Amino acid sequence: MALRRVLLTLAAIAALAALAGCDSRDSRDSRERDPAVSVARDLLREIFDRSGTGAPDAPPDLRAVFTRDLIDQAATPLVYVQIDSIQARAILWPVATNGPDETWRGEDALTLTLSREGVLRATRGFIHDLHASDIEGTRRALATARAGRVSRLAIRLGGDLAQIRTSHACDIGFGAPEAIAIFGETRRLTPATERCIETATGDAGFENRYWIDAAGLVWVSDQWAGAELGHVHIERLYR
Amino acid sequence: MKRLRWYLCATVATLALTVPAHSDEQHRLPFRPTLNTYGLPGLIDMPSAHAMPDGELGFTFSHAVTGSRGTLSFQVLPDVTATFRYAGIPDFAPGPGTGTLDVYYDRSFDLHWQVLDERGWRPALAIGIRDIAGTGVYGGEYIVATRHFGPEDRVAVSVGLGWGRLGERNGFTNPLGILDDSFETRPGIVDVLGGTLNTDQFFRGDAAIFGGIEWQASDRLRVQLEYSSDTYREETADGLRPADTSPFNIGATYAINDVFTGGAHVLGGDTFGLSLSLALNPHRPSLPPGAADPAPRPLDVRPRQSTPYDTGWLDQPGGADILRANFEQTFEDQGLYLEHLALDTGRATVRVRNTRYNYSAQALGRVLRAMSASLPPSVEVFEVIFVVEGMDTTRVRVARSNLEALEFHPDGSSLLLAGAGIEDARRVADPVGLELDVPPPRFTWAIGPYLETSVFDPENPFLFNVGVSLRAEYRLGGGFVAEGAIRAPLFGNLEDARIVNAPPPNPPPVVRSDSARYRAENAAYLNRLTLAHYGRPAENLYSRVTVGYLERMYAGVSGELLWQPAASRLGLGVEINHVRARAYDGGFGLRDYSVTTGHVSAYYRLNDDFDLQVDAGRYLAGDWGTTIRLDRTFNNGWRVGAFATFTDVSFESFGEGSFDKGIEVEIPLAWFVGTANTRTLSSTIRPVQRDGGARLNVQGRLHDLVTDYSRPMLQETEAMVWR
Repeated sequence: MALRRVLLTLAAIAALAALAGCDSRDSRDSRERDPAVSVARDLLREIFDRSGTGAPDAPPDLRAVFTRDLIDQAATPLVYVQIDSIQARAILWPVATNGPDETWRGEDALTLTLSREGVLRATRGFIHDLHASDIEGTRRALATARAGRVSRLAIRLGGDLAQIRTSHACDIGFGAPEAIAIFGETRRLTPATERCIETATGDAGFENRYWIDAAGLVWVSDQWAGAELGHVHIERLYR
Repeated sequence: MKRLRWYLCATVATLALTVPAHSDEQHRLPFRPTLNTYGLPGLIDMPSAHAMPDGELGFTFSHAVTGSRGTLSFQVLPDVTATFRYAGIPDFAPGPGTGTLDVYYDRSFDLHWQVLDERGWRPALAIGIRDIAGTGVYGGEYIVATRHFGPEDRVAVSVGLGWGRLGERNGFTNPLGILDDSFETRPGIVDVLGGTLNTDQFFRGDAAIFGGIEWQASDRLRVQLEYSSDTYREETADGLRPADTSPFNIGATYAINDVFTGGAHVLGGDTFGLSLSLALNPHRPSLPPGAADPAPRPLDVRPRQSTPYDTGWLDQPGGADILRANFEQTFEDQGLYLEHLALDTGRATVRVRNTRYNYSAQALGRVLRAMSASLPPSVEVFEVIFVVEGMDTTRVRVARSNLEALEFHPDGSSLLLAGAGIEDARRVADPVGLELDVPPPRFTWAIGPYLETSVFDPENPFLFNVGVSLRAEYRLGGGFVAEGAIRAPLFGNLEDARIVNAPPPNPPPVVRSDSARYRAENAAYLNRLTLAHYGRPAENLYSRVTVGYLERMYAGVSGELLWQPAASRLGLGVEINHVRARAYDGGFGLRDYSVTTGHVSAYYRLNDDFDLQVDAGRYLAGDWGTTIRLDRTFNNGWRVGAFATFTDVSFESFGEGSFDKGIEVEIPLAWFVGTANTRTLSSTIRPVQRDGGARLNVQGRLHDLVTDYSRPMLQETEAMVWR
């Protein structure tokens, strides 16, 4: 009997969930009115319209769609981002600058914050975000092209709102310049590798790879954003 | 409908299933102990010396022909587990002279204390008392040691000494007799009402040895073998188990995922049983906090310049309209509403209503970013006042340059809150220059389903009603709010709640024990119809006056005054009500009984983990006394608490249970779904609702309303300020 009652109750709860409550609150759709965003969005819309892919559900192959001509025409800087762990590919444009940090955003409400040189600082809107970090050592090493050991800090949020801090000790090394193609344009870039171990445990951490120009600007990179999100692949799509 | 009922949890918890498991660490023996058929860390029936992870809330259901047990276990502290159990034993005579009942329902409360944790060669050691305050069917005490062996600690061996029910098999003279001869005999239970501590029983009478071994066979599968010191003497006497069974029980459990574990066992080769346990932990949400929210708007940083920012904008015509449009745009779809803006060239104060963010620091962060996007660069001081029921709460003051400097600082959240001024909104005056008033909508309404439940009634484990509720609210201005709610139950069994037929001797007036009569009227009823006034009579003071049909059972007038400084851990309140009992049919009628009831209350935030509340005064039955309430709290809004009320109604006159007490669990819906949401799932488990120590259930009590924006609460949620 008791079991039957419980089952009945669960059925009732399911019915309740289906019978969504309504109220007098206004619930208009979100419409972003930020001019910078609408410019970038218009550009993207134009690009996708031109691509002529008939099936709207099929994700466009961004590498095929974004020709170098289109990139050169874009009025705003863009970056291409690929995150394999969540099978995401996106074109982002800058939406805010705060000192050395630039926040990039795409069609979805996801943002990446990169340092001016292109080192990943924080993410927002992913399930497992990189909440904050200390990347000053890495930034200096890349800007000055100086190999050596730097320290890093990654902060993520725990279930009870704890800011869980993980320190890493990272060895940065540089290779010989090589030719790298970025969306149809080839640049001569210096590869850099950042191998990090967890300071507290000595456990293997992660490895970041950057391709930088003579000014220390990162053009292509694979950067770790946490255990769950894994590596974020970033390419700069502007002159 | 701010509070959905607990049972929605079940559905939402199933959502948690869709999320992949965390690390395999979660499944290892030392990390998450098996919960036994009593819902305590253990093997099958026997306890072990394990402890659950801190804050873990376990629900265990076990079934065998010897009875069904449902247990709520909570790891109150890293080394203390508390459990509440509701069991049903079929065809059972609970004691001599009681006769055999179809189903005997038994409620019991246990404590398990891990005195020593396992370290080096030292085993963990735990002491426990089962059924501390009940009628003693499951009563027993134990001391047990557990140690892990083998690679990855895959084997755990437990050995213990039991008393009472755990001292039945091959019992020997109590070794504690060397302390005092009185330990050698266990007296019979005299208290038939339950509810009082059975201290004269604890660790008395014969003792017996029990033990067992548990093997982590794979990441998810565990096997248990135990030597039980429990002979099921009374169940055997009632024919539920054969006599002279084997002392060995064997079982296995399988962790279906991080939340659910299923198990099967055989007691002594004769009795087959099944178990299912569900474990939630505030530290382990299925999604990280705010994970399903869209990325916030980044801060709009002012351009750097060496000369002072222009201040001519203050005299610009139409400035107020521009600012209003700015805020409307930045607040859009955020559940934040601007109510008032006052600013001069250097300082701006906004009053905001927050309807979405359960983490107050997240609401603060969103408002500060909207200010950075909306206000001219010369405004350097941002002040945010959250408005609750028309009352200003605290004034949070942040330097705009600080905000800009800390957005991506590794310690940005802590530094921002540490550097913020948080004081009573009334302490300083608003800036004078430009003012904008956006009154909230006067009329709001909502229609939706409701679920009302009563769990662990003495004769029915689960009672509920499902129906439709219509709620409307009209703001008259000046702090006055008229509110009404009508409910139409559609189906359920709440009216089956036991109506006490045989009252105890010299009982107090019937004030709550007739609640089933109210529910028996299954037509639509007026749940509430009130006119309330909320106000701020002075600095640090909040006030409420409510008149009308205050709750389902009482109508009258209720007044409350709360002293709660913005940065204080202490709040003091006084509440006085004069009420008359409402008619059973849920209309406008009243019954004869009236009473003046009220309390003085002290609220104290002991530390980041515990809240203490003490209320002293007069209760609904005219009885005088005190309620003590202790809550374990978590930064994410989880709250698990216990309360007890002692009044001048004697235990005997109170009846079954001896005094009013209960457990309350509150979990924010946001914890399950990972998006900002102010709703909570809450449930109060009261072993017996009687008439002594009963309180009026008036809406809008001040302390809960206004403390969200105090310094302690803002700092505990500070991690969310940049989300």
